[in-house]
Amino acid sequence: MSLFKYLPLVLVLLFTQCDPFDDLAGSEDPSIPEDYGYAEVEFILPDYKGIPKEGVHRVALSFSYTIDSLFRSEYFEKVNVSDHKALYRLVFPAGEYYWEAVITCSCGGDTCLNGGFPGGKFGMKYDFDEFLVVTGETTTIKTRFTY
Amino acid sequence: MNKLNSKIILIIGMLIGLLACSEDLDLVSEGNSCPVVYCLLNPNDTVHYLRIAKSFQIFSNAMDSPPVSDSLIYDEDFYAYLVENDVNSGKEIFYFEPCDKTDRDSGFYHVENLGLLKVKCQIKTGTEYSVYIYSPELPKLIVGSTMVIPSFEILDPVYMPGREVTLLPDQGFDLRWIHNYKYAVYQPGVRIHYLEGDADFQVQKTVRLDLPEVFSYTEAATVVDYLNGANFYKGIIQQLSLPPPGKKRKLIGFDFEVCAGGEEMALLRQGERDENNPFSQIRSYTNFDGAQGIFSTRVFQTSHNNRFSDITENYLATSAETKQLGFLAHGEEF
Repeated sequence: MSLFKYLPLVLVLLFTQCDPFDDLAGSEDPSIPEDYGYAEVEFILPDYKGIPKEGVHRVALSFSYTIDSLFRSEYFEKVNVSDHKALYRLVFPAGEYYWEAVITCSCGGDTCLNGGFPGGKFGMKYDFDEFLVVTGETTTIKTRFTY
Repeated sequence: MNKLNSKIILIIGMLIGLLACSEDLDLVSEGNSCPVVYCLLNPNDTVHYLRIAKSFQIFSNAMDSPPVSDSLIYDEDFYAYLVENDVNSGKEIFYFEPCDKTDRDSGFYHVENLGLLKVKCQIKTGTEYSVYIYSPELPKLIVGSTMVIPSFEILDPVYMPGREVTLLPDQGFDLRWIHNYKYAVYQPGVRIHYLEGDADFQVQKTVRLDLPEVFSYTEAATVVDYLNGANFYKGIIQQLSLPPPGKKRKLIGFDFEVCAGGEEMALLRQGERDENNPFSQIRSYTNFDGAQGIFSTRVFQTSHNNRFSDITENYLATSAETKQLGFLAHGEEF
Protein backbone atom coordinates (compact mmCIF):
# COMPACT_ATOMS: atom_id res chain seq x y z
CA MET A 1 0.00 0.00 0.00
CA SER A 2 2.80 2.36 0.99
CA LEU A 3 4.54 1.59 -2.31
CA PHE A 4 1.56 2.87 -4.29
CA LYS A 5 1.33 5.88 -1.98
CA TYR A 6 4.82 7.05 -2.96
CA LEU A 7 4.66 5.95 -6.60
CA PRO A 8 3.56 9.38 -7.97
CA LEU A 9 6.44 11.04 -6.10
CA VAL A 10 8.94 8.52 -7.50
CA LEU A 11 7.59 9.04 -11.03
CA VAL A 12 7.79 12.83 -10.67
CA LEU A 13 11.41 12.53 -9.50
CA LEU A 14 12.27 10.20 -12.37
CA PHE A 15 10.84 12.46 -15.06
CA THR A 16 12.16 15.72 -13.68
CA GLN A 17 15.72 14.66 -12.91
CA CYS A 18 18.53 16.63 -14.45
CA ASP A 19 19.18 16.31 -18.17
CA PRO A 20 22.88 15.58 -18.81
CA PHE A 21 22.67 17.41 -22.16
CA ASP A 22 20.94 20.45 -20.67
CA ASP A 23 24.17 22.46 -20.46
CA LEU A 24 24.85 21.95 -24.13
CA ALA A 25 21.55 23.37 -25.31
CA GLY A 26 22.16 26.54 -27.25
CA SER A 27 25.89 25.98 -27.69
CA GLU A 28 25.74 23.63 -30.68
CA ASP A 29 29.39 22.64 -30.61
CA PRO A 30 31.19 23.08 -27.29
CA SER A 31 34.55 22.73 -29.07
CA ILE A 32 34.36 26.01 -31.00
CA PRO A 33 36.26 28.94 -29.48
CA GLU A 34 34.53 31.83 -27.76
CA ASP A 35 33.35 34.64 -30.04
CA TYR A 36 32.80 32.21 -32.90
CA GLY A 37 29.55 31.41 -34.64
CA TYR A 38 28.23 29.33 -37.51
CA ALA A 39 27.30 30.08 -41.08
CA GLU A 40 25.04 27.51 -42.68
CA VAL A 41 24.81 27.79 -46.45
CA GLU A 42 21.92 26.16 -48.28
CA PHE A 43 23.52 26.00 -51.72
CA ILE A 44 20.35 25.37 -53.69
CA LEU A 45 20.58 24.65 -57.40
CA PRO A 46 17.67 26.49 -59.02
CA ASP A 47 15.31 24.87 -61.50
CA TYR A 48 15.79 26.37 -64.94
CA LYS A 49 13.20 25.93 -67.64
CA GLY A 50 14.48 23.53 -70.28
CA ILE A 51 17.62 22.52 -68.35
CA PRO A 52 17.61 19.06 -66.76
CA LYS A 53 18.53 18.99 -63.07
CA GLU A 54 21.73 17.04 -63.68
CA GLY A 55 22.88 19.73 -66.14
CA VAL A 56 23.37 22.40 -63.43
CA HIS A 57 26.43 22.14 -61.17
CA ARG A 58 27.88 23.84 -58.13
CA VAL A 59 31.24 25.40 -58.95
CA ALA A 60 32.37 27.50 -55.99
CA LEU A 61 31.40 28.80 -52.58
CA SER A 62 33.84 31.41 -51.30
CA PHE A 63 34.05 33.97 -48.51
CA SER A 64 35.66 37.42 -48.29
CA TYR A 65 36.10 40.00 -45.56
CA THR A 66 35.04 42.97 -47.73
CA ILE A 67 32.92 43.59 -50.81
CA ASP A 68 35.88 44.91 -52.82
CA SER A 69 37.99 41.83 -52.05
CA LEU A 70 35.01 39.75 -53.18
CA PHE A 71 35.01 41.57 -56.53
CA ARG A 72 38.77 41.07 -56.83
CA SER A 73 38.28 37.31 -56.14
CA GLU A 74 40.41 37.52 -53.01
CA TYR A 75 38.84 34.96 -50.73
CA PHE A 76 39.96 33.88 -47.29
CA GLU A 77 37.92 30.66 -47.42
CA LYS A 78 36.91 28.38 -50.28
CA VAL A 79 34.58 25.49 -49.61
CA ASN A 80 34.97 22.22 -51.52
CA VAL A 81 31.56 22.06 -53.19
CA SER A 82 29.85 19.01 -54.61
CA ASP A 83 26.77 18.34 -56.73
CA HIS A 84 25.81 15.77 -54.13
CA LYS A 85 25.80 18.05 -51.10
CA ALA A 86 23.59 21.11 -50.63
CA LEU A 87 24.23 22.13 -47.03
CA TYR A 88 27.60 23.58 -45.99
CA ARG A 89 28.30 24.52 -42.38
CA LEU A 90 31.24 26.71 -41.45
CA VAL A 91 32.67 28.26 -38.30
CA PHE A 92 33.80 31.91 -38.33
CA PRO A 93 34.77 34.49 -35.72
CA ALA A 94 31.81 36.78 -35.02
CA GLY A 95 31.68 39.58 -37.56
CA GLU A 96 30.60 40.72 -40.99
CA TYR A 97 31.52 38.76 -44.11
CA TYR A 98 30.62 38.35 -47.77
CA TRP A 99 29.80 35.11 -49.52
CA GLU A 100 29.83 34.24 -53.21
CA ALA A 101 28.33 31.16 -54.85
CA VAL A 102 28.90 30.11 -58.47
CA ILE A 103 27.02 27.60 -60.64
CA THR A 104 27.44 26.42 -64.21
CA CYS A 105 25.55 24.46 -66.84
CA SER A 106 26.97 21.50 -68.78
CA CYS A 107 24.23 20.80 -71.33
CA GLY A 108 24.98 20.73 -75.03
CA GLY A 109 23.60 22.91 -77.80
CA ASP A 110 21.75 26.10 -76.84
CA THR A 111 20.14 24.61 -73.74
CA CYS A 112 22.34 26.53 -71.28
CA LEU A 113 22.07 29.78 -73.22
CA ASN A 114 18.29 29.53 -73.39
CA GLY A 115 18.24 28.73 -69.69
CA GLY A 116 19.98 32.01 -68.90
CA PHE A 117 23.62 31.00 -68.54
CA PRO A 118 25.74 33.71 -70.15
CA GLY A 119 27.76 32.31 -73.06
CA GLY A 120 25.91 28.99 -73.06
CA LYS A 121 27.66 25.75 -72.04
CA PHE A 122 29.88 26.19 -68.97
CA GLY A 123 28.77 29.80 -68.61
CA MET A 124 28.69 30.83 -64.95
CA LYS A 125 26.03 32.42 -62.79
CA TYR A 126 27.01 34.24 -59.62
CA ASP A 127 25.21 35.03 -56.40
CA PHE A 128 26.63 36.95 -53.44
CA ASP A 129 25.61 38.83 -50.34
CA GLU A 130 26.73 40.10 -46.98
CA PHE A 131 26.11 38.17 -43.77
CA LEU A 132 26.71 38.53 -40.07
CA VAL A 133 28.08 35.84 -37.76
CA VAL A 134 26.94 36.17 -34.15
CA THR A 135 28.75 34.46 -31.26
CA GLY A 136 27.36 30.98 -30.62
CA GLU A 137 24.56 31.38 -33.15
CA THR A 138 23.87 30.05 -36.64
CA THR A 139 23.36 32.39 -39.56
CA THR A 140 21.53 30.74 -42.43
CA ILE A 141 22.37 31.72 -46.00
CA LYS A 142 20.28 30.65 -48.97
CA THR A 143 21.52 31.00 -52.53
CA ARG A 144 19.04 32.43 -55.04
CA PHE A 145 20.76 33.11 -58.39
CA THR A 146 18.11 35.61 -59.42
CA TYR A 147 20.50 37.94 -61.27
CA MET B 1 71.93 -65.55 -10.54
CA ASN B 2 68.23 -64.99 -10.97
CA LYS B 3 68.57 -61.72 -9.06
CA LEU B 4 71.41 -60.62 -11.35
CA ASN B 5 69.38 -61.49 -14.47
CA SER B 6 66.37 -59.62 -13.26
CA LYS B 7 68.55 -56.53 -12.50
CA ILE B 8 70.10 -56.67 -15.99
CA ILE B 9 66.65 -57.03 -17.56
CA LEU B 10 65.40 -54.06 -15.47
CA ILE B 11 68.36 -51.84 -16.53
CA ILE B 12 67.95 -52.81 -20.20
CA GLY B 13 64.23 -52.14 -19.95
CA MET B 14 64.87 -48.70 -18.44
CA LEU B 15 67.42 -47.86 -21.15
CA ILE B 16 65.02 -48.92 -23.91
CA GLY B 17 62.28 -46.87 -22.30
CA LEU B 18 64.44 -43.75 -22.05
CA LEU B 19 65.76 -44.07 -25.61
CA ALA B 20 62.30 -44.72 -27.04
CA CYS B 21 60.89 -41.53 -25.58
CA SER B 22 61.83 -38.52 -27.73
CA GLU B 23 60.18 -35.21 -26.95
CA ASP B 24 61.93 -33.19 -29.67
CA LEU B 25 59.55 -31.34 -31.92
CA ASP B 26 60.60 -30.65 -35.48
CA LEU B 27 59.36 -27.08 -35.87
CA VAL B 28 60.91 -26.49 -39.28
CA SER B 29 60.09 -29.68 -41.11
CA GLU B 30 60.05 -29.57 -44.88
CA GLY B 31 56.32 -30.04 -45.35
CA ASN B 32 54.46 -30.15 -48.66
CA SER B 33 54.16 -27.16 -50.93
CA CYS B 34 50.76 -26.03 -52.08
CA PRO B 35 49.78 -24.31 -55.37
CA VAL B 36 49.32 -20.54 -55.16
CA VAL B 37 47.16 -19.00 -57.89
CA TYR B 38 46.27 -15.38 -58.63
CA CYS B 39 43.83 -14.31 -61.33
CA LEU B 40 42.14 -10.90 -61.37
CA LEU B 41 39.70 -10.27 -64.21
CA ASN B 42 39.33 -6.72 -65.47
CA PRO B 43 36.08 -6.09 -67.40
CA ASN B 44 37.68 -3.02 -69.04
CA ASP B 45 40.52 -5.08 -70.52
CA THR B 46 40.63 -7.84 -73.15
CA VAL B 47 43.71 -9.67 -71.84
CA HIS B 48 43.61 -11.40 -68.45
CA TYR B 49 46.47 -13.06 -66.61
CA LEU B 50 46.77 -16.10 -64.39
CA ARG B 51 49.81 -16.57 -62.19
CA ILE B 52 50.58 -19.95 -60.71
CA ALA B 53 53.38 -20.73 -58.28
CA LYS B 54 53.87 -22.94 -55.25
CA SER B 55 54.33 -22.16 -51.61
CA PHE B 56 57.80 -22.40 -50.11
CA GLN B 57 59.22 -22.53 -46.65
CA ILE B 58 61.07 -19.64 -45.04
CA PHE B 59 63.78 -20.34 -42.48
CA SER B 60 64.81 -16.72 -41.94
CA ASN B 61 63.53 -13.23 -42.68
CA ALA B 62 61.83 -13.49 -46.07
CA MET B 63 62.73 -9.93 -47.07
CA ASP B 64 66.45 -10.65 -46.50
CA SER B 65 66.53 -13.89 -48.41
CA PRO B 66 64.20 -14.07 -51.41
CA PRO B 67 63.45 -17.62 -52.51
CA VAL B 68 65.29 -19.14 -55.45
CA SER B 69 63.23 -19.15 -58.58
CA ASP B 70 63.06 -22.96 -58.77
CA SER B 71 61.30 -23.20 -55.45
CA LEU B 72 58.35 -21.20 -56.79
CA ILE B 73 57.58 -22.87 -60.07
CA TYR B 74 56.13 -26.11 -61.34
CA ASP B 75 58.20 -27.81 -63.98
CA GLU B 76 55.26 -29.41 -65.74
CA ASP B 77 53.10 -27.62 -68.31
CA PHE B 78 49.80 -26.13 -67.23
CA TYR B 79 46.48 -26.56 -68.82
CA ALA B 80 44.12 -23.79 -67.74
CA TYR B 81 40.85 -22.46 -69.03
CA LEU B 82 38.24 -19.89 -68.12
CA VAL B 83 34.55 -20.74 -68.26
CA GLU B 84 31.95 -18.02 -68.71
CA ASN B 85 28.65 -19.06 -67.10
CA ASP B 86 26.25 -16.64 -68.76
CA VAL B 87 22.62 -17.30 -67.80
CA ASN B 88 21.45 -16.02 -71.21
CA SER B 89 24.00 -17.33 -73.70
CA GLY B 90 25.19 -20.42 -71.83
CA LYS B 91 28.76 -21.57 -71.23
CA GLU B 92 31.78 -20.44 -73.19
CA ILE B 93 35.34 -21.66 -72.69
CA PHE B 94 38.51 -19.57 -73.16
CA TYR B 95 41.88 -21.33 -72.99
CA PHE B 96 44.87 -19.73 -71.31
CA GLU B 97 48.18 -19.67 -73.20
CA PRO B 98 51.73 -19.21 -71.89
CA CYS B 99 52.83 -15.63 -71.46
CA ASP B 100 56.35 -14.24 -71.26
CA LYS B 101 55.32 -10.86 -69.84
CA THR B 102 57.73 -10.04 -67.03
CA ASP B 103 57.22 -6.36 -66.31
CA ARG B 104 55.56 -5.49 -63.04
CA ASP B 105 55.31 -2.61 -60.62
CA SER B 106 57.03 -4.05 -57.58
CA GLY B 107 58.06 -7.22 -55.79
CA PHE B 108 61.23 -9.12 -55.04
CA TYR B 109 60.34 -12.49 -56.51
CA HIS B 110 62.21 -13.69 -59.55
CA VAL B 111 60.77 -12.80 -62.90
CA GLU B 112 62.34 -15.67 -64.80
CA ASN B 113 60.36 -18.89 -65.20
CA LEU B 114 57.20 -17.29 -63.87
CA GLY B 115 54.19 -19.52 -64.23
CA LEU B 116 52.25 -16.84 -66.08
CA LEU B 117 49.40 -17.53 -68.48
CA LYS B 118 47.10 -15.19 -70.40
CA VAL B 119 43.73 -15.37 -72.05
CA LYS B 120 42.19 -12.99 -74.57
CA CYS B 121 38.48 -12.44 -74.08
CA GLN B 122 35.95 -9.77 -73.19
CA ILE B 123 34.72 -10.15 -69.63
CA LYS B 124 31.03 -9.50 -69.00
CA THR B 125 30.06 -7.72 -65.78
CA GLY B 126 27.48 -9.38 -63.54
CA THR B 127 28.46 -12.79 -64.97
CA GLU B 128 29.96 -15.73 -63.14
CA TYR B 129 33.34 -17.02 -64.29
CA SER B 130 35.20 -20.16 -63.26
CA VAL B 131 38.83 -20.98 -63.76
CA TYR B 132 40.17 -24.56 -64.02
CA ILE B 133 43.87 -25.47 -63.83
CA TYR B 134 45.32 -28.89 -64.50
CA SER B 135 48.93 -29.98 -64.28
CA PRO B 136 50.25 -33.55 -63.93
CA GLU B 137 52.35 -32.33 -61.03
CA LEU B 138 49.34 -31.10 -59.08
CA PRO B 139 47.52 -33.54 -56.82
CA LYS B 140 44.08 -32.38 -58.03
CA LEU B 141 42.29 -30.05 -60.44
CA ILE B 142 42.27 -26.47 -59.17
CA VAL B 143 38.88 -24.73 -59.44
CA GLY B 144 37.77 -21.21 -58.53
CA SER B 145 34.70 -19.10 -59.27
CA THR B 146 33.88 -15.40 -59.10
CA MET B 147 31.09 -13.00 -60.00
CA VAL B 148 32.48 -10.09 -62.05
CA ILE B 149 31.65 -6.74 -60.47
CA PRO B 150 30.47 -3.94 -62.77
CA SER B 151 32.22 -0.63 -63.17
CA PHE B 152 31.42 2.24 -60.82
CA GLU B 153 31.15 6.01 -61.07
CA ILE B 154 33.25 8.63 -59.30
CA LEU B 155 31.03 11.48 -58.09
CA ASP B 156 33.62 13.64 -56.31
CA PRO B 157 36.00 14.99 -57.38
CA VAL B 158 34.78 15.47 -60.92
CA TYR B 159 36.14 17.98 -63.41
CA MET B 160 33.99 21.05 -63.86
CA PRO B 161 35.34 24.31 -65.35
CA GLY B 162 36.00 26.74 -62.50
CA ARG B 163 35.69 24.15 -59.75
CA GLU B 164 38.74 23.89 -57.49
CA VAL B 165 39.77 21.80 -54.51
CA THR B 166 41.10 23.45 -51.38
CA LEU B 167 43.25 21.34 -49.06
CA LEU B 168 44.63 22.70 -45.82
CA PRO B 169 45.74 20.94 -42.64
CA ASP B 170 42.27 21.62 -41.21
CA GLN B 171 40.32 21.28 -44.47
CA GLY B 172 39.91 18.02 -46.32
CA PHE B 173 37.84 16.80 -49.21
CA ASP B 174 34.94 14.34 -49.34
CA LEU B 175 35.59 11.71 -51.98
CA ARG B 176 32.48 10.01 -53.32
CA TRP B 177 31.75 7.18 -55.70
CA ILE B 178 28.67 5.12 -56.38
CA HIS B 179 28.55 1.37 -56.91
CA ASN B 180 25.88 -1.25 -57.27
CA TYR B 181 27.34 -4.41 -55.79
CA LYS B 182 27.37 -5.42 -52.20
CA TYR B 183 30.86 -6.36 -51.01
CA ALA B 184 33.95 -4.69 -52.40
CA VAL B 185 37.27 -3.21 -51.39
CA TYR B 186 38.57 0.03 -52.84
CA GLN B 187 42.11 1.35 -53.06
CA PRO B 188 41.82 5.10 -53.66
CA GLY B 189 44.80 7.24 -54.61
CA VAL B 190 45.64 10.76 -55.71
CA ARG B 191 48.10 11.40 -58.54
CA ILE B 192 49.43 14.95 -58.22
CA HIS B 193 50.91 16.58 -61.33
CA TYR B 194 53.44 19.40 -61.15
CA LEU B 195 56.05 21.11 -63.29
CA GLU B 196 59.70 21.16 -62.26
CA GLY B 197 62.36 23.32 -63.85
CA ASP B 198 63.45 26.89 -64.45
CA ALA B 199 62.32 29.76 -66.67
CA ASP B 200 63.76 28.04 -69.79
CA PHE B 201 62.74 24.41 -69.40
CA GLN B 202 60.23 22.51 -67.32
CA VAL B 203 59.40 18.84 -67.00
CA GLN B 204 56.02 17.48 -65.91
CA LYS B 205 56.29 15.14 -62.97
CA THR B 206 53.87 13.13 -60.88
CA VAL B 207 53.67 11.98 -57.30
CA ARG B 208 51.11 9.44 -56.12
CA LEU B 209 49.58 9.32 -52.67
CA ASP B 210 47.81 6.09 -51.72
CA LEU B 211 44.87 6.49 -49.38
CA PRO B 212 43.70 3.84 -46.91
CA GLU B 213 41.55 1.03 -48.26
CA VAL B 214 37.79 1.41 -48.08
CA PHE B 215 35.43 -1.53 -47.57
CA SER B 216 31.78 -1.41 -48.57
CA TYR B 217 29.07 -3.74 -47.37
CA THR B 218 25.94 -2.21 -48.85
CA GLU B 219 24.32 -2.55 -52.23
CA ALA B 220 23.56 0.47 -54.48
CA ALA B 221 25.11 3.07 -52.24
CA THR B 222 27.35 6.07 -52.37
CA VAL B 223 30.72 5.38 -50.78
CA VAL B 224 32.11 8.43 -49.00
CA ASP B 225 35.79 8.61 -48.16
CA TYR B 226 37.80 11.53 -46.81
CA LEU B 227 41.00 13.02 -48.17
CA ASN B 228 42.58 14.40 -45.02
CA GLY B 229 44.32 17.72 -45.65
CA ALA B 230 47.04 17.20 -43.03
CA ASN B 231 47.84 13.71 -44.37
CA PHE B 232 47.89 15.09 -47.91
CA TYR B 233 50.71 17.52 -47.06
CA LYS B 234 52.47 14.88 -44.95
CA GLY B 235 52.37 12.50 -47.93
CA ILE B 236 53.81 15.13 -50.29
CA ILE B 237 56.64 15.89 -47.84
CA GLN B 238 57.43 12.15 -47.55
CA GLN B 239 57.34 11.48 -51.28
CA LEU B 240 59.13 14.54 -52.63
CA SER B 241 62.76 15.35 -52.09
CA LEU B 242 64.13 18.87 -52.35
CA PRO B 243 64.19 20.25 -55.90
CA PRO B 244 67.56 20.38 -57.72
CA PRO B 245 69.45 23.66 -57.15
CA GLY B 246 67.99 26.52 -59.19
CA LYS B 247 64.80 24.62 -59.99
CA LYS B 248 61.28 25.43 -58.86
CA ARG B 249 58.01 23.53 -58.91
CA LYS B 250 54.52 24.53 -59.95
CA LEU B 251 51.37 22.64 -59.02
CA ILE B 252 49.21 21.68 -62.02
CA GLY B 253 46.39 19.54 -60.69
CA PHE B 254 45.49 16.01 -59.71
CA ASP B 255 43.78 12.83 -60.86
CA PHE B 256 41.75 10.79 -58.43
CA GLU B 257 42.10 7.05 -59.03
CA VAL B 258 40.18 4.19 -57.48
CA CYS B 259 40.84 0.49 -57.97
CA ALA B 260 37.93 -1.71 -56.87
CA GLY B 261 38.40 -5.35 -55.94
CA GLY B 262 35.53 -7.82 -55.90
CA GLU B 263 34.02 -9.69 -52.96
CA GLU B 264 36.88 -12.21 -52.76
CA MET B 265 39.50 -9.45 -52.67
CA ALA B 266 37.49 -7.69 -49.95
CA LEU B 267 37.43 -10.86 -47.83
CA LEU B 268 41.15 -11.43 -48.34
CA ARG B 269 42.10 -7.85 -47.47
CA GLN B 270 39.69 -7.69 -44.54
CA GLY B 271 41.27 -10.83 -43.09
CA GLU B 272 44.74 -9.37 -43.46
CA ARG B 273 43.99 -6.03 -41.84
CA ASP B 274 41.64 -7.04 -39.01
CA GLU B 275 43.74 -6.59 -35.88
CA ASN B 276 41.28 -8.51 -33.72
CA ASN B 277 41.53 -11.52 -35.94
CA PRO B 278 44.08 -13.91 -34.38
CA PHE B 279 44.91 -15.16 -37.86
CA SER B 280 45.38 -11.67 -39.28
CA GLN B 281 48.95 -12.42 -40.29
CA ILE B 282 47.94 -15.54 -42.14
CA ARG B 283 46.57 -15.13 -45.62
CA SER B 284 44.09 -17.86 -44.99
CA TYR B 285 41.24 -16.79 -47.26
CA THR B 286 41.08 -18.33 -50.71
CA ASN B 287 38.28 -19.00 -53.15
CA PHE B 288 40.21 -21.75 -54.92
CA ASP B 289 39.58 -25.41 -54.34
CA GLY B 290 42.95 -27.16 -54.37
CA ALA B 291 45.10 -24.03 -54.08
CA GLN B 292 45.78 -20.88 -52.13
CA GLY B 293 45.32 -17.49 -53.77
CA ILE B 294 42.50 -15.43 -55.17
CA PHE B 295 40.26 -15.35 -58.22
CA SER B 296 38.40 -12.07 -58.33
CA THR B 297 37.68 -8.87 -60.28
CA ARG B 298 39.36 -5.52 -60.32
CA VAL B 299 37.97 -2.38 -61.91
CA PHE B 300 39.71 0.97 -62.31
CA GLN B 301 38.14 4.41 -62.43
CA THR B 302 39.85 7.78 -62.69
CA SER B 303 38.69 11.37 -62.40
CA HIS B 304 41.13 13.52 -64.41
CA ASN B 305 42.10 17.20 -64.56
CA ASN B 306 41.01 18.31 -61.11
CA ARG B 307 42.40 21.68 -60.05
CA PHE B 308 43.74 22.96 -56.77
CA SER B 309 42.65 26.37 -55.50
CA ASP B 310 44.98 29.35 -55.07
CA ILE B 311 44.69 28.84 -51.29
CA THR B 312 46.18 25.33 -51.66
CA GLU B 313 48.97 26.55 -53.97
CA ASN B 314 49.86 29.38 -51.59
CA TYR B 315 49.90 27.09 -48.56
CA LEU B 316 52.21 24.63 -50.32
CA ALA B 317 54.52 27.49 -51.35
CA THR B 318 54.67 29.34 -48.06
CA SER B 319 53.94 27.08 -45.07
CA ALA B 320 56.87 26.26 -42.79
CA GLU B 321 56.50 22.50 -43.42
CA THR B 322 56.31 22.60 -47.23
CA LYS B 323 58.14 25.70 -48.47
CA GLN B 324 61.46 23.81 -48.79
CA LEU B 325 59.83 21.74 -51.58
CA GLY B 326 60.17 24.77 -53.84
CA PHE B 327 56.59 25.17 -55.08
CA LEU B 328 55.60 28.50 -56.60
CA ALA B 329 52.71 30.46 -55.12
CA HIS B 330 49.57 31.13 -57.17
CA GLY B 331 50.30 33.49 -60.05
CA GLU B 332 54.10 33.20 -59.72
CA GLU B 333 56.03 32.20 -62.83
CA PHE B 334 59.26 30.19 -63.22
